[in-house]
Amino acid sequence: MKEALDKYSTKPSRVNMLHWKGEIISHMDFAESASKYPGTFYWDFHRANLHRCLLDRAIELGATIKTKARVLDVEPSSDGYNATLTLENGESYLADLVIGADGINSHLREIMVGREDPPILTGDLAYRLLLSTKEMLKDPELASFVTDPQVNYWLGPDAHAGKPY
Amino acid sequence: MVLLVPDDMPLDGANTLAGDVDEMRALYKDWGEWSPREITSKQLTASVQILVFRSYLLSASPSING
Repeated sequence: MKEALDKYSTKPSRVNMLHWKGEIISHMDFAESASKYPGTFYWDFHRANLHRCLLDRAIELGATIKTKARVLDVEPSSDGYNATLTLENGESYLADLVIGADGINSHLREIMVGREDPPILTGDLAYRLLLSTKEMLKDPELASFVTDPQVNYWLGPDAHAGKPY
Repeated sequence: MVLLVPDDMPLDGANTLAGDVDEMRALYKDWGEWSPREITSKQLTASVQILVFRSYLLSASPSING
C-alpha cells in the first residue's frame, strides 16, 4: 500500500512539545527515531484519505463491503470455532472471525464483555478544524507550517492543542 | 488542527456541535506567539467549518485470558 498511501502522506521532520507561550519543551526527530528500525518511517494522514486507501485495497483483494448492516447480536458456536452474526434486517452470517470496530459507543464491545459499558466523560471538548494550506502559504507567519511540516503539541492551562502540519 | 479545552457543552445535549470561531479564539487569547493563538487569529479559520466534539474514553478492556 506504500505507493497508494504516499500520494496522501505528509512527512513531518519532527514532533515538538511546546509551552503555551511558545518555547519548545521537548522534541523528537522522526528520521533519527526511524533509523533504528530500517524500512520504517513516520507518515501523517488526514483520516479520510487513510480510510479511502484501506477501503480501496480491501476491495482490490476481493473484500465485499456491505452497508446498512447493523449487527444486533453475535453468538459464538458451542465448539467456539465460529460465531453467528444477526443483523438488524434479520439476515444472519456465520463467521470464522468477528472484529468489532464500531466506535466509542460500541455495541459489539458490550456483547463481548456481557454488560453495559458506556464511554466515560473526559471533561474535555475537542475543536476540530481544517485549515486551508493555500491561504496559509500566503501568510508569512504561517507559511512555514506548510513548507516545513512538523507535528506540534502545545500544552497550556486548561487546554492543549495538536497540529499535525 | 485539534484544540482540547474544558467541556462546557450541556450534558443532555448533542455530543457534536458547530464550533464558534470567536469563542475558540477567546480560549487562546493569552497564549504566546507561534501558538494556536496565532493560527486561529487569522481570517483563514473563518472560512472553514469548525466542529466541537465531546471527548470520551472507554474503560480498559477486561482480560479475556482468565
